[in-house]
Amino acid sequence: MSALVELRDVVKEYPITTRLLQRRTGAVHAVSGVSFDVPAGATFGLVGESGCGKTTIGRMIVGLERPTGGAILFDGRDVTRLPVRQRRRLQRARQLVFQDPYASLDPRMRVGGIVREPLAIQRLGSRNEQRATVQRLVEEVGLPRDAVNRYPHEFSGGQRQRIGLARALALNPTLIVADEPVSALDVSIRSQVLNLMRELQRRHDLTYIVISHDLTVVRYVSDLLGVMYLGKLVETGESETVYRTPAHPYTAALIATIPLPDPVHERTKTHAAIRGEIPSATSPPPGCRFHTRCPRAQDLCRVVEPPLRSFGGTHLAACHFPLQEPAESEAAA
Amino acid sequence: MSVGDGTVLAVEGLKVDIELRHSTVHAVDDVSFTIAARETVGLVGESGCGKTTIGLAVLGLLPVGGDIVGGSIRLGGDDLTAFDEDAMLRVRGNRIGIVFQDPLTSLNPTMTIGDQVGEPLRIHRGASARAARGSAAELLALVGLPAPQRQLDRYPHELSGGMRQRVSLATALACEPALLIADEPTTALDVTTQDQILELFARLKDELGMAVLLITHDMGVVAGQADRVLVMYAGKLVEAGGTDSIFYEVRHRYTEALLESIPRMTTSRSEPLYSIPGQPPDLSRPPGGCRFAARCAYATDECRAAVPPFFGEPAHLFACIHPVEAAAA
Repeated sequence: MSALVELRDVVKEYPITTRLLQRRTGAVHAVSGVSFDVPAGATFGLVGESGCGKTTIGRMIVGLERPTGGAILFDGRDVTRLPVRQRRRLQRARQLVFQDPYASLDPRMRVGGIVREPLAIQRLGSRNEQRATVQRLVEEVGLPRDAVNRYPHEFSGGQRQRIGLARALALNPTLIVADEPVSALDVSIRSQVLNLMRELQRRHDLTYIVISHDLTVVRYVSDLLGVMYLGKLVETGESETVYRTPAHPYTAALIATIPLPDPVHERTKTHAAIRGEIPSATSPPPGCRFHTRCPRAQDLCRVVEPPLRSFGGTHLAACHFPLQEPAESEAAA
Repeated sequence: MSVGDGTVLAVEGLKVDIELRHSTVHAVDDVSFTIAARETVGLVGESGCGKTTIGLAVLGLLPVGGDIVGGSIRLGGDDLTAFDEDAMLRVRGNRIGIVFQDPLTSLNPTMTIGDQVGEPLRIHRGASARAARGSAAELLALVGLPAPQRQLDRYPHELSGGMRQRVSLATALACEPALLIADEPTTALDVTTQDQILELFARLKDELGMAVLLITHDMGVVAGQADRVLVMYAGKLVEAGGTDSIFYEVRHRYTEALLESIPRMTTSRSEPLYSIPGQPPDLSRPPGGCRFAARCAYATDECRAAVPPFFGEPAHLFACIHPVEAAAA
């Protein structure tokens, strides 16, 4: 599998300016040098807590934001440096599915119009061809035939997420970035949508990047996984490997803190030794950004930023004192 | 269910209707349960099942158009359904503490943390400003807020989400309420913060000995916190029992399906996830019979004919005609 998406040291900073003189007084370091590859046809899960930069990365990959530094390669081409016209064509291949199916659909448009809009904007096909495509998509995602003539408010959350998927598929994309696709849905509806996403991936040869704070969901859908903390990729690798044998204490804590529907496990588990809360991204801690909360942190962590090291195969983690020995005995700093 | 020894809250046959423009939603239909002192009862179910409405009914905070149309809500010796708004003002924040999902909207942005946490004491206990401030610092220490004295003069926006939720909890606990109602108290928090707040809940429950009604959609949160669990579906209580029996000896087909749909760390990635077909019914026109019948793989004509009664024993009740077989004794 060759990489469909490659991130090379991607940086995104949002300037903080004074209201009066528009003088730059600082920056929010949303993404600070993140690199990873997403092979064609794979599902890459990007997990982390609020403010870790996962949503910003998703928006940069589909072209809604431009990185401050680094490169994002799509099919081998750097999408951050393309002329407008080519960027627009590439836009078709990369689509986004949003978290909140209530806020991401125009309440005054009928479902047919919502799904057709991308085709109209890109001027693909005649009106009749567009209508036929819309009808096919609406039925493919499991909505009733007459859904095209109805409005979003007539549908439940799960059905609205199906509308969002139909709209994303309209331009026949190769990549879908799904940002918290099922977080707003009830458990019983959640699995319906996850099963549909899996079915669509198979039928349309899609590559997915699934962004979520929910590790159980991400583990279920992803082949590969990236764990982010405060703008940094702290661990990545094959999903099963990372879940079974996390090397980074943050990943281990994320896994351990998920409340499981198992009373005996919940009553007897030791609560994670993670202290405090996520620091501000305007002034991230020096050294390892996790050191302020890490139970294993030592002086080195407060000063030197740990590089990503290999733990065998594609399994990488950025930690000075990982939970297992790195693959090769390379220099720690 | 009678008000027995140690019973703090007894809800009996509660019915709540919500009048909308063109229809009436029967949000809660004939729900009964009790909570004893030192007991945490988890009220679980999916969106629209009526769990939040029950909490609001107990608090006398039903939305416009919402009305208790049947049943009683007894707190100690009083029937709260007979209380007027003035009387309820003396109950909320005093005999019943409240923690909501989003502390940013439930805290007053223009009040300092100290004023906010001390307010119930000034209102309900006639505490002086100085005494209330002193108690506020103690309460903030109780809920694990670092450097409580220094937090007193800060405003909610200066605190992180987890710290704000600790402040709401401190406010709720100020008057040592007999009952604490917590509606999705950790849903808006990150998982590592949620873990800390859940640990705090477990500790306070042991220390303070109050009754807790924990309303949540998260079966994982309930598993770790509740002594007993009430499962709701479409306005009806469908199963009630000890936490272990609900999770390990589930009887109702809805609870079974709900637990089955949760992806676990051990769920095989090569197979489709278990999912419940269809969606919950429209509660302005609820179906006769079992409300889960339309989505249930085991439903028969009998299920659709009449609302199933409760089977089982008081320690574990389930309203299902074709239940999961009981584990062999």
